[in-house]
Amino acid sequence: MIGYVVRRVLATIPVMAVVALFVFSLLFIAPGDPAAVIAGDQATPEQVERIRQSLGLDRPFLVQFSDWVWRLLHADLGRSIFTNLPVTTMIAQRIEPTMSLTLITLVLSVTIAVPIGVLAAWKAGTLIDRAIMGFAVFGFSVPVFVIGYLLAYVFALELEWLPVQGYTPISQGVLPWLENLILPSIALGCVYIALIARITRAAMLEVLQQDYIRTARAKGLAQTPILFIHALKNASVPIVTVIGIGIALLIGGAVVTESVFAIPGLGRLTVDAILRRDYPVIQGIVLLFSFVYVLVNLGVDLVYTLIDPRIRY
Amino acid sequence: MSPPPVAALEMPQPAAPALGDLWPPVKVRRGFVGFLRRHPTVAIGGALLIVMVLVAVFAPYLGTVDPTTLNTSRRTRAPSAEFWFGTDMLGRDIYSRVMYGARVSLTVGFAVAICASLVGLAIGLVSGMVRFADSIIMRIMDGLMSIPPILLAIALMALTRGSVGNVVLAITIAEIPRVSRLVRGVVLSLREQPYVDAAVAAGTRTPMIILRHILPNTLAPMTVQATYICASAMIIEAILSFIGAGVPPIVPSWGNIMAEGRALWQVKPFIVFFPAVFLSMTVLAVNLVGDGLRDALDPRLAKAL
Repeated sequence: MIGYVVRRVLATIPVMAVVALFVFSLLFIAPGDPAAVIAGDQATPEQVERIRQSLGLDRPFLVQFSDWVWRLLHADLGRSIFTNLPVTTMIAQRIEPTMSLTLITLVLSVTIAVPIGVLAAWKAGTLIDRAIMGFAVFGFSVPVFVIGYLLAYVFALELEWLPVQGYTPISQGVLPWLENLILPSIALGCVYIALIARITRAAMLEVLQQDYIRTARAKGLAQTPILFIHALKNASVPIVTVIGIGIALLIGGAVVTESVFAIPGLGRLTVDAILRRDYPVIQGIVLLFSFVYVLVNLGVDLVYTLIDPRIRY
Repeated sequence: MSPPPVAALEMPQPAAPALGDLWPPVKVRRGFVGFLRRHPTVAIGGALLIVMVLVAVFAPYLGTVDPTTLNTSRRTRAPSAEFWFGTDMLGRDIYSRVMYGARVSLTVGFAVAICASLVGLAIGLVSGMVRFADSIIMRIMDGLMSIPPILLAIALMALTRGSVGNVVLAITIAEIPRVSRLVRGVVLSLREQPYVDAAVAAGTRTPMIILRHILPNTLAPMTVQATYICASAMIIEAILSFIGAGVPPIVPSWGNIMAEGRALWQVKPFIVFFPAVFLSMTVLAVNLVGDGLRDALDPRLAKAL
């Protein structure tokens, strides 16, 4: 068990190394000369060259890369070209709304998707099943910003039940915080719910055909414990896997959702950084999100051994 | 050996039902029409998709005007008989822009599906057949896969000018790891098949084995995967344009039209509405075709999903 955990944790190192190499190359091959930008329009070529040397930009790729990784390991992501603030500071300022949004969406999606997936598998072939799977196809097809606008139009502009856009920090009260995040979370969650519901149904259908389910029925067990204890527990490995993989959808979708609902989070920071070509900030955000994604999937792999003791690596 | 239970043998046996009652004769219509009847989602999605392709091809003849013509005297008009979908902030006809927008979305969708499939196929084949390359290639793919695809595309777009070609390239790179993984998985399971062993024993050369025995069997899962990539590419293109990292604003793409309508959406929701509907319908059409093809080409998966 411990051996497996150690091996699994070590296996994330090459993955993160590839990510780091890719993200660093991004800055290395980015058009524009940072030294020239910093030196300004009036600078002579000699001044630009001096700045380039002082920044170490004239050194070979691998030297710069190892230097960059070294600083990375000390939580130094460099400075924004535009604001000259450390990238870590800029990320720290914007992380709360994004974390709130993705965590609420995650909780909301899993609590909706798993039961409807189980329901669809239980009622396989019926109208309920078809309705749920039909919804899943729509969830896959309607882009997150379309759902966002639709929800905001109906529930905020027409019915006036919820705020149209904006964000209230949780420190100013849980209720206003939640009110602002309900619509964005539903919009962001649609694809995710569709994905999890579909996999849940597929995994449940397979388990429900097993002999031990028939045995459970034969001994007179009620439907609910059969579905949620005997079946769901055995179907949980693919479900947990897809919850982990789907985090990528949440992260990507958050960038767009924050634009639609004017939430000042990391997604908005990304969009602003692209428009200003602020490469260190883009680098920092891509690195952070990828790191989170790798960690989540590492967690998922470790959870396997808890939910299914047969898995021993 | 224990004797058969006597009681069971002496039990009165119910008359066996006639075979005809158990399996009513099924008329299977063959050919293309039969295929569409058995897979209605392909028929519906396909029809919708064909309509969109026709719209894209014949955009200039659908009563449209030049989608880039500015006219500041008629800004943000509501939909009317003259301007079916209204006009945007610069007085451009939204109906024309939406019709022409089909070209961008479909071009990006199909181009990415084809490019990502071909490159992914090549990488997956090499990875599945050449053992020493496998671990290196797969580590790189794992790394790329751990960057969420939209972010990867955004990061790549930040490097280049916005153009349709660059958008296709960026999304293709973001989609390649998934295809290669799929192909590699299929190849790894295929090369253990007895008929591949037989071919090796018969002295068939590796390129021929790949061409004759491996490649044809990857086609079915690849086709299904390609439709999903097409759908995902169209969504990513719209997202890129929407946040200003996609095709240049002058190009009438659905994402761009929505981005232009974003500032005004609370008062002029129609600017966002029409491209949103067309985008969703097109992606839905592609997804329906993909689901239908998956059911048709992979009966085992069809039973599961």
